[in-house]
Amino acid sequence: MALLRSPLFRSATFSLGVGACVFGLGVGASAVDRAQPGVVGDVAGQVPAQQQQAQTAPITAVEAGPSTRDWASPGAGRTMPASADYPNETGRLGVINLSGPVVTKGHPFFTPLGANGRACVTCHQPGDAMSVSVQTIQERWAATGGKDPLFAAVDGSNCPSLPQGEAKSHSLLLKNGLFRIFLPFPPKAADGSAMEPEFSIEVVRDPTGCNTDPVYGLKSDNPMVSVFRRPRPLANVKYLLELPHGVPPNDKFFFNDKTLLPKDPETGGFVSMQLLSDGRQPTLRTQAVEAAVNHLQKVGAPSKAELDQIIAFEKQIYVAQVQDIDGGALTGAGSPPGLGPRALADGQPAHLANNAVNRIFGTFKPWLDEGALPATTPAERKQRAFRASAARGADIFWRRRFVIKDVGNYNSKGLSNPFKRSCGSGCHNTLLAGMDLAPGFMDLGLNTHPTNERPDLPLFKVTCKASAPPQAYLGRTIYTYDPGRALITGKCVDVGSTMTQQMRGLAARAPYFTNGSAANLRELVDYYDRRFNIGYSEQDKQDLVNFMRTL
Amino acid sequence: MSRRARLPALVMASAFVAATAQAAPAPGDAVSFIACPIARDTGPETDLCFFAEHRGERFALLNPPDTGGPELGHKVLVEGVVTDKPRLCGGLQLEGRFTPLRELSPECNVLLPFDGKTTIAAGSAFSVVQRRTGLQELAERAEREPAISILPVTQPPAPAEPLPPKPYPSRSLTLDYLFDSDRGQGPQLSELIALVDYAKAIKAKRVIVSTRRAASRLDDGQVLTETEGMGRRRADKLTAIISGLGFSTDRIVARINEEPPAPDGRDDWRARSAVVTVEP
Repeated sequence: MALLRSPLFRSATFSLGVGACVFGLGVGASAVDRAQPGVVGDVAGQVPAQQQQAQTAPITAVEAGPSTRDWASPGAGRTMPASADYPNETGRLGVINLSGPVVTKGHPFFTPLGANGRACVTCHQPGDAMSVSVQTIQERWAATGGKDPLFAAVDGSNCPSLPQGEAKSHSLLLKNGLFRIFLPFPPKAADGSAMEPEFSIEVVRDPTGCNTDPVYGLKSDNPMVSVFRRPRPLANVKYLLELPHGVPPNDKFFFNDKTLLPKDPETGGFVSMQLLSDGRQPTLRTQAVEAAVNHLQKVGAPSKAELDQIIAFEKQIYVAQVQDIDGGALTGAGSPPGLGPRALADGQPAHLANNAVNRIFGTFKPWLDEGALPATTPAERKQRAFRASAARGADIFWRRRFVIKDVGNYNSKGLSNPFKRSCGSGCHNTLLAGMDLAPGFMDLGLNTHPTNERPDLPLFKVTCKASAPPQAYLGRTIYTYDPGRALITGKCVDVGSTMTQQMRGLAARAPYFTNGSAANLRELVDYYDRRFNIGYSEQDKQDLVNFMRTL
Repeated sequence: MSRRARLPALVMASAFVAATAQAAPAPGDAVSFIACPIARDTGPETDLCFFAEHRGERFALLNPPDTGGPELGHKVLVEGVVTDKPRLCGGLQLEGRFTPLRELSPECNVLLPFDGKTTIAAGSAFSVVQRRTGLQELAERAEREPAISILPVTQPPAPAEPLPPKPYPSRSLTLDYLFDSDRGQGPQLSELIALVDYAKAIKAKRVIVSTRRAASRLDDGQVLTETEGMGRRRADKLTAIISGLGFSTDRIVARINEEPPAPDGRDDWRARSAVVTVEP
């Protein structure tokens, strides 16, 4: 297959959780080395059992029971309107398709492409801000008896080797919204060649069983590390793709080590690295190929036409909260100008916004001004109280400084350790989107023990070579639930680092953080308060929660 | 050691008054030493500042923008010449460099509270936007016209310089590095981009990358030598950058000197340099 020899497919597969054989493709070489373990068709490395499991997963799930969340079923064929809103626990999420209504029948984003019945939309639900929430996941389990392709064994369970009909085998997805991400170890370079990592990795404990599994684990014929991560929202992507403006040379250079940014394998242009939590795929196209092979268990990459259609869809969808149960309508006259999906669709991506004009998400002063007016009804009073709280939260987010210390790959990238910034003037600085423009891989402590306690996740001991620069604040022996970027670069300094995320549509897509450690926005705020000894008052915390749920 | 066990110790400033009195270094005196950085809070609305102590004197820790910041948990190598500029963070300003050393030093964990008088100018080290002229006026206008608050305030890039008339001159750029580091400085890399653009525009015959490995002599006589191969690392990285910016690899020439010059304890940091030369 010519496609398998194309630079696109080679670059997309370098970091797949698959075996080594596909990576060494050269022009004129056969598609895969079929002597390698786990070769299935033209795709290497999926262990045979995974393909068999995929084929036993039902294509059409059994529908039963009411749901509070909208569910876009793969292959259902409904037309997605140009503009719609979807319910969530604190209001409604607005979704705009800038290109107009989307006919999903036959559309590759909405159509099962692989053997397990999943489509891209399975894990990137419009009503969940193009991620998938635990609320939705639990409703799908209840509605389908756990048989929805969402729960496909390959990564919708704690390990494919576990009994698949049991909820406990899917506990990480059901409780924390986590999918298994399996990556080769030792890591592979972008061209598929073997890398010599700066560290060794041992399994300290493995409640999932997957890292010690004889078929799927570190000591299997196809050595892989299984970590567990949330799907990132696949919306507002121009804010993820655009290179930074106005902060040269960071439109060409990676801030941390001043190497050049990676490049798009097709165009040769620099890429932002903001798509995935470990930055392993440079473009929407390579991410789509990887996802099709790994998550959808498609044999072979999607066609160019399918990829073009998937990417075109992804680039035109915008999501943000539009209504709050207490705050009322979040857009329209008298509303903060940065709220709602239209502001994102019309906004300019990749600008630094940690300044007194932008305040990251724009001013919330209209709500402060409104609060100065007399309220005539209890409902009006309640609404204004919420809005005033959200406005205070926006101000805390932008203005309140605290000491940020010992964040690997962040303090250590030249910003000083510690330094004193606010949420917005520090890491969450991108106009209207709220991630780090730099881009920001960082070890916030969520992936490391004992800063974060996650007895449900596998725990690894990473031991760095004496010759390797140590992880900036943890040294050369690190206990981690997820080595993060280090599983891609092989570098000790990257252990535990994952990429900051955009902050839009938060109300629709709990839980939060790459490993789902915060079940709700309050837990998210509490983590930061604890981690950095900020000393937020109870009111501060509520204000921040109210602010974030309007985004 | 867990992060919780390494919370910064807040101590009184008086604990750091010099125990022994020595003559303060005068402008023009060179210093070179390794010490723990000490952080100081400068008030609720501003960032921290840093200094290091050596022989009873405090030295402000300042590097050019986007070069590297001091890190608690790590010692710093401080090299430079005392200037006559006003004290910063209570310390003498140096013309030189400081390097956060990569190995962990958990004993370097002091954050002094705000003393009520040591302040620094407000503004983000990363963002140049806050220092832009007219930003405050724009912020005031955004209060009256909220829609302005979601428009970028980033200034557009300066237009590229026109090519000089022929014959095109050779151009060079010197980049300097922290000790044992191949990480360039942001502003210098912006200049490198412009230099490579020049090389491409004039179809330069070649670009020469000259790098070296260096050593530093400390005030106590100890000599620190950079890791073997540092000259090669810097050259390889610059070559990759220059070719990644679009200049043909086969016209990049690397000249590497792995033999450190004899350190003098004064200008050793300048020896950690690379020179990129465009030959028309």
